Amino acid sequence: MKKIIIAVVTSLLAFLLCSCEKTDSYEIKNRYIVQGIGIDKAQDGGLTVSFQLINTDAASVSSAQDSPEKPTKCYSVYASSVSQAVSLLSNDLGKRLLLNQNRILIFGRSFAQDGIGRVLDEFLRNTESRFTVLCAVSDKTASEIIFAQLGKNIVPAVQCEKMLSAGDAYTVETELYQAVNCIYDGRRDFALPLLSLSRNEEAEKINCTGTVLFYGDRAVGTVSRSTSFGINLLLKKQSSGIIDVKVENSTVSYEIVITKPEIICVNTEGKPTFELRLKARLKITEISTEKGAADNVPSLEALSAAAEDALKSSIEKSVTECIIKVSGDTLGLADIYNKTAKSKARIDNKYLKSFDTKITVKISIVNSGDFSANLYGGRKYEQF
Amino acid sequence: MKNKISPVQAYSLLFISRIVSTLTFVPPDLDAVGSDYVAAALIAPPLVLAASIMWLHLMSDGRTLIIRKVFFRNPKAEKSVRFIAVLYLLLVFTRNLSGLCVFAMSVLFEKVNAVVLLTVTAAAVIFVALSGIEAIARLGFFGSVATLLSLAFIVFSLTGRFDANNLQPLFLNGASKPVLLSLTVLSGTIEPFLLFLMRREVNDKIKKGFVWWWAAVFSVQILLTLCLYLGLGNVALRMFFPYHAMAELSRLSIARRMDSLLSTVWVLASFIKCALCLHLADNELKKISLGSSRVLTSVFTAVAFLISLLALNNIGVYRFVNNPNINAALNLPVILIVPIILNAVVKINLKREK
Repeated sequence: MKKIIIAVVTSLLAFLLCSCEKTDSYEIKNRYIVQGIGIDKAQDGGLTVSFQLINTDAASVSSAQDSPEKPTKCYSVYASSVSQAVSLLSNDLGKRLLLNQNRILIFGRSFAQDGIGRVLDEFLRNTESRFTVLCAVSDKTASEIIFAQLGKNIVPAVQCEKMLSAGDAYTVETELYQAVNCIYDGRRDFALPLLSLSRNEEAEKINCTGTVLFYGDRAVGTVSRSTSFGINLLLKKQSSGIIDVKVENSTVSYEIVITKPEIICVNTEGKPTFELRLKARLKITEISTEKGAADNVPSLEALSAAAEDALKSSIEKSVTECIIKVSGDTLGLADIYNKTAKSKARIDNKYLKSFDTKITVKISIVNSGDFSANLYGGRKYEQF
Repeated sequence: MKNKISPVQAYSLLFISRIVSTLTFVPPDLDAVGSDYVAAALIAPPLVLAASIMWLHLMSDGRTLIIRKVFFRNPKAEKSVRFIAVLYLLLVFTRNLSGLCVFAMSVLFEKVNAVVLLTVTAAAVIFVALSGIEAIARLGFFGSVATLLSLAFIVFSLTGRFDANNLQPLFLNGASKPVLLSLTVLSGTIEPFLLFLMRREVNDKIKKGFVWWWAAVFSVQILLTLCLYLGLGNVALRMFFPYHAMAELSRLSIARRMDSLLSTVWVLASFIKCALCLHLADNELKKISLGSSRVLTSVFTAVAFLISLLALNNIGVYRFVNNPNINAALNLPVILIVPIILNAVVKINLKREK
């Protein structure tokens, strides 16, 4: 009897924990898998929410037709909140939206300027949504990115996610919870990549053209891709990527192996002084000279000094543009100041504008490559 | 079947019990910041040790005899005290059962039928609880090892997502919030009392492993609290189940759904804690000998089932059952006041005898 009870209870638990039950909405054929969501400002304070969905009908229908269906379906819905938009679209399509496969969340530029805070709750409160989704701002409207026609069999959201998370030196990768942390915390500001759409005859292409800086939940300014590089370096978001530097008559490409930034506030009385220190390990991947790499290769010291100068100027440019021009505290200098000064109140960004900086960059080149490395000051082939 | 367990098994059960309280922690104070919780996690262990020593002190046979002599001259008084202990264990059991089901239905399977889930879970808990302490202890030891390994894996896979900027200096907003929060940690540590109730079912010197248990539990708790804020920052304080959110964040290579791993451990650990509470309540009911203890245990499970069902259908009920202030008001007397009084009584009687 005991064994029968155990068998019954175990079987019931097995069914329950696998979520096997009579609910049609769980069938994949009755759901649309959301790949990307775009949010734009609409009239009367409403939202235009655009969805990019995996076309789950394509697999069954395409074989019966001459031309296969597109891999995605895109829709825009006018609603007062994101959850209402999800509900309205589900009703219109007759299928529930599956949100936990969402890859990107795009905000239209004018919506971002008005403040993105009002729509973030849905992505945290709804357990089906993922709070680790990648965020970006569209140069024009979010629907433009969501509806992009990148070519046959390309899912724009997948492409976009790959681009944003590729570890490119010039793209500030930010996940939703990181932005939310900055907004609710109020200790620092955040930045999101700026996406724009370019068109040629055959297809469209999504590009990352810069970075949008936020103050609180509002977009307050845009900086170029080269400035984004400095932000990445200082926010420890830089894991890899290639930078090109002009050294003597050559253009040298360095691959970033590892970076270790540190920001310290050394003077908390009167004018704050920040020491921005960066240690980086680089690998030389290409030296292009007029006559090829074998000729007149710069010395290792020159390569190292050039990389140091390049990184230093990138950091200087980022600090100047973020703080002085845009008044955003993306680098969290106010927080560092407050932690050092043990001050509870957040200092105003205007106050930060009058700070001094001291930038120190230390480079070590870990690998010069196999071809014509000038390790001893002369040309390599002369040693033989 | 043997009726006694080893101290290692006993402390494994208590480890699981305490870790469940940590994992099911819901931030009680939205005004507090992450560093307040980290500070509280650091302040609490000495408080817990001090409170636990008082229960450990009462575990020698001589002292329990004095307590029985002083308080239980009248058999009715003994029965009443045991009945209060049963009600308290029932409350702990209800909190866990409702927590387990709310977690399962809000995070794992939103559409599962609440009645079926609760019925099957409660039936399984009753079955394990009535199978005896050895069955629970074996499950507890396995559960502890699984929990430790899973948490270690989750923390390891989370290291790449740590952001030191999330941390703020300790006591930045003063010491009052961390001290108050450390009291909630203290009030969540009822394990010394559970150990006191289990003492006759452990076959060796029970006090021997206590410090190791204390060190292990609070090392894990401090580490988890730190990882939570290093990973999520203050967003963690706005989550219903912050540790589940932390697990969602962790990823290692192709392993991307650590929240599933944590959910498995969570369900197992909660289940073991429920079974332990019900077993101890059943033990006390046997001593009261009010008819069949099995029938009474089943009745108490039915009460917990109904409260949990209400909690699943109304979040207000869940909030009431798991309210940190109510919990503190009920737990702190058990953890602090009762052992202080009992120790004082024992001391006075020992002096008189001398």
